[in-house]
Amino acid sequence: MTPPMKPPATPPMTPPAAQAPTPPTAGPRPARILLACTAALTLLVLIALVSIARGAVSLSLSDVVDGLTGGSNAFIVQEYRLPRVLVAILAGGALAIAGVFLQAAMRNPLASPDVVGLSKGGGVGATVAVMLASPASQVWAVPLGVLAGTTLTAAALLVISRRIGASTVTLVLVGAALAALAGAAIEYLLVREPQSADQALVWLAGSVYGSDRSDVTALLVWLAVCLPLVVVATRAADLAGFGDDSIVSLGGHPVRVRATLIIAAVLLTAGAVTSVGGIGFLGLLAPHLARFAVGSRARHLVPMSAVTGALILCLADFVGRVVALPNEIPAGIVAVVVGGPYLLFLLIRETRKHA
Amino acid sequence: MSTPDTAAPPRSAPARSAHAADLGPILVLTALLAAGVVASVCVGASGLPFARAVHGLFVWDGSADHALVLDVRLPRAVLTVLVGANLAVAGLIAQTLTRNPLASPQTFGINAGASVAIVLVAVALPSLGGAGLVVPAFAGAAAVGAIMWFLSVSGAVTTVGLALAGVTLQLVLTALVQALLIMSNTTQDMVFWLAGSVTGADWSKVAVILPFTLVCCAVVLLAGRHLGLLQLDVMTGGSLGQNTRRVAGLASALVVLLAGSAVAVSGPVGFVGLIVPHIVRRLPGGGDLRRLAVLCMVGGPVLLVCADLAGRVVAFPQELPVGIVTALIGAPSFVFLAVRQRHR
Repeated sequence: MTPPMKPPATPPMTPPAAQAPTPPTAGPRPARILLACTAALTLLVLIALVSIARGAVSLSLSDVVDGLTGGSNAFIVQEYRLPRVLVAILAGGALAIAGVFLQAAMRNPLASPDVVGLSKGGGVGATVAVMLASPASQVWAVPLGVLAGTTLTAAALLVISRRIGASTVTLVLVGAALAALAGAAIEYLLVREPQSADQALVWLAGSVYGSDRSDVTALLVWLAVCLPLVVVATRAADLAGFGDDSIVSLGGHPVRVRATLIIAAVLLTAGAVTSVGGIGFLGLLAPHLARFAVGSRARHLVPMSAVTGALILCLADFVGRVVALPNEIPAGIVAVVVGGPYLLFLLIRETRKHA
Repeated sequence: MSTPDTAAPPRSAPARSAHAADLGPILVLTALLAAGVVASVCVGASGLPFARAVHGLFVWDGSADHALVLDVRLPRAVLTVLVGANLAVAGLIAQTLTRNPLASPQTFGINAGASVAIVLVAVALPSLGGAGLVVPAFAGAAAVGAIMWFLSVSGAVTTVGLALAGVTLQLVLTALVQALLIMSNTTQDMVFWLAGSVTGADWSKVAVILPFTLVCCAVVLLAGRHLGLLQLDVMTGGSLGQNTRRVAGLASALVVLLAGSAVAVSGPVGFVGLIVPHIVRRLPGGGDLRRLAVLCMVGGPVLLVCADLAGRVVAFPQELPVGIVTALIGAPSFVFLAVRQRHR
């Protein structure tokens, strides 16, 4: 007779303290979530309207509504202002969702596409594409370059962090160094090809300047293609908040779960970077703000982050447009000036938690 | 009668050999620096053979060679040497002061702070130039230095976290600089400077930075014994009879003066202050701060002169700002250092 098998004596795995998004708890009540979403959406619509109204030619709100439906100001509204606002909304939403996914996949509250260098990597790819491809083929070469750049950066980051078992803060520092390296590479390329430097600088700083209808369509199509993956990743995001062992015991596949999230984040980032360049700290800021409002359950957090991200980018673009008339400050610069101090705050809080 | 050798106390023999080992790296670095400077004078858009360069330097015949060497190449080489020495020594002192191997004028955002102040003043008062830019550079460097000092002393963040805070500050300040430049429509002239560059060096810039280099390096050497104690914690320093606060204040002032004056003439050249101290610590010989400082004073220029040479040769006929070259070398080393920091 064989002795009866003992049940495996592994103690229940507790996720380490460094984990970023707290695993879903009860969270705020549904009424509050609904209220927060409605408030954010209303604010977004308001800012979009104001943003359409203000500019070199100031319009009244009735003019805007009139223009949207094809009135006398239809040209300004539909060809210039509206595409710009739409691109800001789409790109802001995409970057914010990418931030949620990265934070979940890496279990790191400091992660986001810009902080860990994905956006800058995409910038290198775009710069290379602009320089290598003939002007006619740039329409497809630039997105391809951005995609290659973000993917390579993500791969480098994952390899490095896996090799060193990086802590929360170290991982971000590695990302910052990767971003510095990418920044130097971009500057190198720009100095070699100075004639394209001016335009590239504005784009690299992150700007929705000069967006037109084709940009909106392209981004919309790209995001629509990504949508199924985003849905799948949203389902995986809650699971990824746990440690690998807990994921296994819950019936998940850790590598597959994290890979889904990271691939989704890379694709979303590539789309956003292609159309607006690197918007610093947006992907960091939006998920955190959204988490305050709706808690950390992914199916609430992801849509709320998207709205928040859209809101922030619209606001940053609007501020950049009006603060230094007649010049425009790229939205990315505004976002960095606001978002950087927030990262410092998070950093200090993260240290306090461990002390 | 015994010979001095046998009569000497046993400690003197190792001490003397240590002395020889002390000098070795310094001599090697000095030779490298001399070679680098000669190459820096000879290599460029119009190549000068060594003999013609020497001829141009010493024979004041008003020839093109003479003008080229004396007004273009030599000031550039000298400026590069001074900036390299300033940044490397500033990095060494910052690392000693904060007991943080990731500290440097750049990673702590001090360079960026100086840049913001300089750009602000250059936009607001365009007439002010040259030496006038040193004062705002100090103010900006000191302001950021104070923030980092507070974060470091209050224990609000960890060693690696402090570096991340510095990098974040740097990003924010750089964004501010870009915003200022866009607002004032002066992007063209400043972009090159912002990357950190010694292009367009002349003797007036050398005159701006030289006094600070000389005075600060002299102070570092004179006060090296006290500065070295900063590596210990405050308690130990105090029990050894050190007025810790005063020495730390002196060290902070040195970092601000060295980094600020370097940024004022060459823009924020990154990573020199970070990696040179780490390299010289690995050279054979003791870890005495004064010796490390001397090695930094020679080693920093070696790195920067080589980077400048590479920047001039690699992208010929264009020039690569030296800050880009140092970033390409420095960013990977930064990763390496951060990772090693974690393993400790």
